[in-house]
Amino acid sequence: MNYKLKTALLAAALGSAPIGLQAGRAQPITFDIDPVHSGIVFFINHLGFSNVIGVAREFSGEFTFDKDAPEASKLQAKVKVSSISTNNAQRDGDIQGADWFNATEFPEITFVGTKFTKSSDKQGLITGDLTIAGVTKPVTLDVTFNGQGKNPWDGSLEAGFSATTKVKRSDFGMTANIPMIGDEVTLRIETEGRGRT
Amino acid sequence: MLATAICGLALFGVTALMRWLRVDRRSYDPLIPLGFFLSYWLTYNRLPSFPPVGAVNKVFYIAAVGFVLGLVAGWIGSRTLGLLLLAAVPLASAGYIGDKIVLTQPFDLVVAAVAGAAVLYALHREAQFPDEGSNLRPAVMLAVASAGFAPIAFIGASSSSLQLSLGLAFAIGGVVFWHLVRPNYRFGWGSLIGGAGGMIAVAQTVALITRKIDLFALAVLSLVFVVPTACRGIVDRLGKSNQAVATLVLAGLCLVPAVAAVAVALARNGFDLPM
Repeated sequence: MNYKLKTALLAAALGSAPIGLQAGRAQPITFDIDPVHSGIVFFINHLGFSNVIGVAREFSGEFTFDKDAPEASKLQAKVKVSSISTNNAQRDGDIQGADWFNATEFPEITFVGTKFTKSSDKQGLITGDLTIAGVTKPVTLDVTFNGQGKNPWDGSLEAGFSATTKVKRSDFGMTANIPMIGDEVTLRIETEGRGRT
Repeated sequence: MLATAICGLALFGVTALMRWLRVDRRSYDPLIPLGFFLSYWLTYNRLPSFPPVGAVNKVFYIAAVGFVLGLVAGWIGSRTLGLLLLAAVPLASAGYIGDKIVLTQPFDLVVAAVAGAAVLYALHREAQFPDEGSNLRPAVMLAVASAGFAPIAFIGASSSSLQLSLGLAFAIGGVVFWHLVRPNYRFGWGSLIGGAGGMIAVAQTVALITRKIDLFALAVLSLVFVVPTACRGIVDRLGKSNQAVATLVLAGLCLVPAVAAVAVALARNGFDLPM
């Protein structure tokens, strides 16, 4: 084990010391997704020339995580459809319509993790049920564990992850303008969770 | 636009074959609903899941059920059943499509249902006149209204409705072409409840769910359905001498409110949709 990893683990252990000492080992901690330091971005191809960037501005969720036993984690998150933006007001209104996200009937996108697989100290997979526009499909996220420790500003326990995946919008019933507007959507998620005390 | 052309060519070809085979005029009744289903399939690249999820999927099944019930009404020759469907299907489709807003916006649903039934009645009424071109007129009205609805829906944030509506308009054009001279066409309950009813469901979806369509422009577009009544003298006089000219003149007259409706939508909403 190299020095940096030892230091990181020590810092993480110290950060969660009160909880860890109570149980004799690390315990799963529930984190609330911190929207101020988290983000959801998607990329969708336009005519093969560019990848239009969209963001979700309002989302929330929680995850339960124990870095010693990540397979037992839990995760649920939701995104407010009306907050999805592509940096163009006209288009942002359009994608709320019945051909796309259908915000009137389905105002939220949800993701519930069902399987957590650790592939290395920093890498893993989260498989879960993604529900968009009333259609639920299994999706697997490639996840990087960025770290866990105390926030030096306020002393709160934080854990951070980065995740990417690709989904086909047609799987969720959104087939408008394929292939001019790409079927495949690349998602990138940056999450910082704040531990409940 | 390739899909639109395919719809037009497909119905053009089928109708040509049917005329060549000299089929009974009632056999033409399923063509407009079939044009609608073809356009739907080409627009969304799929048949919708069942049970349908969301308004866009519901539209297909509303049209399908309406088509079957309309054909039944035609086969058993029940005008009572047909009129019942004429009133019930727009009401049912508004309630089904707008089920998520039934408690919050019931007035919107009622308006959508009544407007849909009024349009169906206007089309049905036109087909009841005894002259040989009477059954072509509702088809022409529906084609022009669909073509006019297409850009209004597009401006109102539904590019799929643009394609679907244009596809139906061209499909009807392909049918009408072969009946301009010596018409032998039947716009029956299947066409009315399945075809026109399907388009009503599309309009209800854009109005109730997407909610960005210009309702004033839609009101202007609805004048398409009163054109034959308003211009009865012209159409009748022309029809006695040349049926093809009468049908084409009617189409031109129907285009006036359709073009005006599109102009209203453009003037009020602009046209800066990113493509």
